[in-house]
Amino acid sequence: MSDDARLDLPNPAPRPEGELELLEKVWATPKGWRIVTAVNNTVIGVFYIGAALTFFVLAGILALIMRTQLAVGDNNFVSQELYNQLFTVHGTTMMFLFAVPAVEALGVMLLPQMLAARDLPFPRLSAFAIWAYVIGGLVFFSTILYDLAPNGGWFMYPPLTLMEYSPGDNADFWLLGIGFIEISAIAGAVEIVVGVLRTRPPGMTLSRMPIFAWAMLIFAAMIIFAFPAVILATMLLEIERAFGWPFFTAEKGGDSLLWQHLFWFFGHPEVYIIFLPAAGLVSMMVPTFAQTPLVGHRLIVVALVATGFFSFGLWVHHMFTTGIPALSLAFFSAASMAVAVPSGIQVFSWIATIAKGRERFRITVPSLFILGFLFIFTLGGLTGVMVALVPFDFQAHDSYFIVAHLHYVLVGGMVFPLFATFYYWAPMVSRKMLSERLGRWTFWLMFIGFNVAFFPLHIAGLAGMPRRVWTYPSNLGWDTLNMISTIGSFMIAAGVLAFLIDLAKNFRMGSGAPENPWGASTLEWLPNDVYSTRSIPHVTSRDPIWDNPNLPREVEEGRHYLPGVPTGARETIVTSPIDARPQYVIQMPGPGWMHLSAAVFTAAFFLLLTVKAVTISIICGILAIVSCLVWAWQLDKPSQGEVDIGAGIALPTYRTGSSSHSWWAMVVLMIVSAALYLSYLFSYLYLWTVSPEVWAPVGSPALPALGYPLGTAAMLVLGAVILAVRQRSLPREPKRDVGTAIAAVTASALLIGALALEIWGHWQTGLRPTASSYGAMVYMGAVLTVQAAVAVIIMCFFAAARGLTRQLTRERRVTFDNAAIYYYYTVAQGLLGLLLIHGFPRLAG
Amino acid sequence: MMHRLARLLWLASGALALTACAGEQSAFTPKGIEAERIDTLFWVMTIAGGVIFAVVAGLTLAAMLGGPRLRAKIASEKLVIGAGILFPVVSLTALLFWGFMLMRAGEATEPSAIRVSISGERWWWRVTYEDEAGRTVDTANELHLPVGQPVTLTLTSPDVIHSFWVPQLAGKLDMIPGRENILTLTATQPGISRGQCAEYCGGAHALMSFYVVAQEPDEFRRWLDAEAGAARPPEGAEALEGQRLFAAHGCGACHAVRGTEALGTIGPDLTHVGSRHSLAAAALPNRTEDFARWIRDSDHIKPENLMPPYRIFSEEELAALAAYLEGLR
Amino acid sequence: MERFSQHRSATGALVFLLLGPLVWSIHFFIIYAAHASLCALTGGMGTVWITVIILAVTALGALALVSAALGPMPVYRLLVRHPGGDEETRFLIAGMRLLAGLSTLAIIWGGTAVLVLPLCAQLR
Repeated sequence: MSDDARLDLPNPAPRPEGELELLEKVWATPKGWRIVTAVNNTVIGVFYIGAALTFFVLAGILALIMRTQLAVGDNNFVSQELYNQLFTVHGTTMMFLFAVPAVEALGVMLLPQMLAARDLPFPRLSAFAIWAYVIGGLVFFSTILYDLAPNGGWFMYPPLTLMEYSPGDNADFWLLGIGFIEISAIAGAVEIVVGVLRTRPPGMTLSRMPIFAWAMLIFAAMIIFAFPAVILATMLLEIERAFGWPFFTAEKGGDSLLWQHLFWFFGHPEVYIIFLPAAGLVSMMVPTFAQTPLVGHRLIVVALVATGFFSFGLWVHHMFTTGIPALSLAFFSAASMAVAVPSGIQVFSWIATIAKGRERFRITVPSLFILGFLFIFTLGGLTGVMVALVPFDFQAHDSYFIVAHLHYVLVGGMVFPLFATFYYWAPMVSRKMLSERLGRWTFWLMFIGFNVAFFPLHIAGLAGMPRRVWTYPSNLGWDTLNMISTIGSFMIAAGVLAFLIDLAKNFRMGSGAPENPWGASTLEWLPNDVYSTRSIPHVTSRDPIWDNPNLPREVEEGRHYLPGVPTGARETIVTSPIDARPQYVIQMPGPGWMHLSAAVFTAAFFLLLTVKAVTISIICGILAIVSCLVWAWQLDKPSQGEVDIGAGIALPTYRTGSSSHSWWAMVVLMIVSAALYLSYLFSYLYLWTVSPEVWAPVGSPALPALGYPLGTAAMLVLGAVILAVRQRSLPREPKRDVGTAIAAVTASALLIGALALEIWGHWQTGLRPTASSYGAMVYMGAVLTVQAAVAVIIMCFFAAARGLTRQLTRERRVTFDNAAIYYYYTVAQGLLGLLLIHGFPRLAG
Repeated sequence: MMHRLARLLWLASGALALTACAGEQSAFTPKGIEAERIDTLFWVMTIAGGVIFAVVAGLTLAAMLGGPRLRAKIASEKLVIGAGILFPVVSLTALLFWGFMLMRAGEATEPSAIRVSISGERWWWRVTYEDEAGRTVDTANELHLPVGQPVTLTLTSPDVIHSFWVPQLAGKLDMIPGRENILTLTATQPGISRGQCAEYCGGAHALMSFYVVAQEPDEFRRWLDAEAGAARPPEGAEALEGQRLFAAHGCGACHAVRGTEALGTIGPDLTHVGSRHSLAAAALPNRTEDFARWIRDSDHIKPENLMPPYRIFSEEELAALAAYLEGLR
Repeated sequence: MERFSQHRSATGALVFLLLGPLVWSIHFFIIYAAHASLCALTGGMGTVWITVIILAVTALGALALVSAALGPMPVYRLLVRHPGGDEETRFLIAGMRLLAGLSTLAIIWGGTAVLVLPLCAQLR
């Protein structure tokens, strides 16, 4: 870079008096026990990872108990009943309470630093997500201690998990317990999509974005499309258990395979949701240890995207043995092959990068874990290709071969990169680095232990040992293999123990560790404090620190963008999605109590519902909503005009309309809602192909007269029109806005009326949801639209309240816009539902 | 270091495989047509996979430790495209289509003479034969097959999802409430294989197994004729006493013994239970004393199973019942 | 200090980049839905329409992606509303081509299964 260019930095030095002090003050973390109100991504990130690690250890202990029971055949160390709970809680905890939260936690902690943003765009949302998850997760896990744990497997197949075969609250703990995990995941997804696409530093175009940001963006997009399927499935199962609506009961036209389709449509992307961020992290660490830019950067981006998409076409490979026609299976076998190619691309890119460094690849604890990951994940990928072949899967499915395969890809593919991450990025958040010496013990114990524990299980599986068995006969030749596996599992535990000791000795939150000890090139290694970087750098390459070794000093002196706090409160820069052109400055909230209270009451709502304490549960639900409203009331601060961020760029401090981060969050939520509704659409049509004999008009009461759906549609459309008209005629100046209040109330009333008419229309034909799967599906459509309507009505009243308190104008209109677009979405969903429910049987019958 | 470790692991596992190989429930010793096809596929994929793994490990080591010219060759996007895209495209296309051909090979060409309905129930197997003449024979927890002749199994379940798996003969197929799944088994040699439920069905899933006896065709016919017949009358005073106790305590309400008044269909058919290879869905061997143990302690042997334990009988009464049931060959 | 580049449509750029996977998704949805529903509706007998639909969408999908990969600029200008010529354009086009290639492979692998296997049989 020429001298002129380097001198041409956005802001001059030295910075004015007090600017740094104000920055520190505005971003300070609450002290003492008030830290629970903190929202800084580094603080939340550390709590999040700590919670995830805790669940990892807890679920690991369950695994040790399981392995002890299986060490010899015909064993009686634990009972059949306890074992069935153990493997269910182990799997559920590892998948839902450890794996997804861990990678999400890394996103929360690392992404803003890698993007030199001061925080995630919705700081209190991630704080809400983590507290709901911690409370709910701990309560869920505790059920193993008093015989209330679910025992249907982590995948909870009906009919086994229906009331008839799983009486008691155990299964409900899973169904409702996982509910709040789903909320946390989606909240995280919203943050990450908006964060990666809109809060990058100026100049960090899409092609210059770090690989981890790509991985997290794809992770978030996958959550958005995959989680709704399992949300619908859990809703259906819980409703069948609680109210008897026969979605999964064959005698009444239901089908247990419907659960499997919905669950695995989520479940397969789920494992790539877990793996992709880890692969992204590896792509950040390998170049550092090779001291050279990543070879095949574009290929890796493409590989991540392709994996993300193709992973949605694999789900039936978990159902190869259910008797589905062979040609269908072939489609999924083909897609399972296709998804192997991008993984291969990544592996060879990493190897090429290792070879490219001028010096030899540096061996440190993190790079050892990366090598371990390569070894284990490659083996897991190869067995994955094997089971993608349908005939081989006929033998391997539901045997210990699959147990071996899944642990190779998940532990190799995610846990090893996770441990590499701990050692590599610890200096970013801890005052001391972790110990190289203890770290080597951790690595070797875990690596050797893992292979000793899981390799023999491939053989045991093909030797006939099925999964989920609490014991096995000792004359089938499986004893030695199992004993070896148990020994290996205790070696892994020793390794994890070494790590925990290392953490206890060396990990202390705070700054003071060596700056950029590994010599990395990306922005998270710039000098950092509670406010992230002193100024937000202008980025011109993929490896900013290598290409401009002065960058850390420039940034620390405040020479780059936004070195101060022009609005007097927490802010960061919003940039355009592709070219990272600065667009505006977000005014972000700081620590608070409301999101914490919302999290506690949300968790309480779900958990109390599980034990059928309905009244208190509803009260907690209302308190959760109230907390959210108070929380939201504190957002949407008025515009403070334009502020100068440097380089002569003046940015607005309030944004309205489709480029506002708030609008983007609503769009993400609408996509989630749409994915949920489309899952429902699939379920309706699927059950019709299975049981056309229970459908109207043949097997059920005839549909209501056309007047009903037309009336419903008219009310929906009218409500939308009223809001649309109001959108164009919001007050110019802040005043007591009665017009908006009237519009909001009327639109809400129309929505309620529309849905009431729809439900009454079906009820008066004599159709009941418990009568058949058709009845259940008809009323389920209404349930989903009622669900959306409840959210919309709350938002409408909120906007009305803003209007009445003079906080709504043509410019300052985010609260109204959000309610309006979600209203339009609800209307669209409602109309589609009417078309399906009133149109399809008439067409098909 | 890693390379040495990898080699050690392969050697060790090879040795271990030999010990597990010869089990009666092992896919490594196929004795049926589908299992043999899959076994070939398995070995080809395993060897190919091993070679690929060795290459990847070798490349990694070379990238780390090799000389500058070797490392320069590895450090190119060309390697990534060649090894990461071109090689997989070629090899996976071949593999995928081989897989399709193997699937196609499962197309039954001739209708099978013998049809068997197997219903997986918590936690045992209801087996019903139907021959060409339309004669049906009810039995439980054991399957007999004629060697070399395809047998069509119709798999169902009245309660939860189970899965029928005899690794030596074929891959598994699920038993799903509301559906009928068809599996055609052809044994290639006489012998006894063991199978087990392979879909978690709660409770005593781990103890839901069965035996498959492959016999020469005429021997199979003789067996089927014998199985179709009524129960043998009890011989000896002890067995007679056992029959009396059986009837007196209502065992016939759940269990059928053809030729007597016991006609219950809730539990397994016991008409020829004495000749079976095992008891309680392979949870127990078939010896006289095991009958007694089961009647008294079924809830300890197979927790949560749906037959109540009978601790009301004295030692002599249990011996009598056992003698009676053992005699039902 | 370099200037920021001309305005680009963000949605258009993402759709352009993801052309391959999007076409693959639509293809996969059609072949699976058509096969599953037609087999169910014909009681397991199947119909020649299954083969026709699958082969048609496979050919169309592959053709669409190959042409986009060979001649990306018109598609780029249409979707991204940008004249092209800068670093970001090159990145987007390279990415689009690679994804189109992988997706075409996946489309062909999936669609040609119909040439080997009978339509609705379980084959067990």
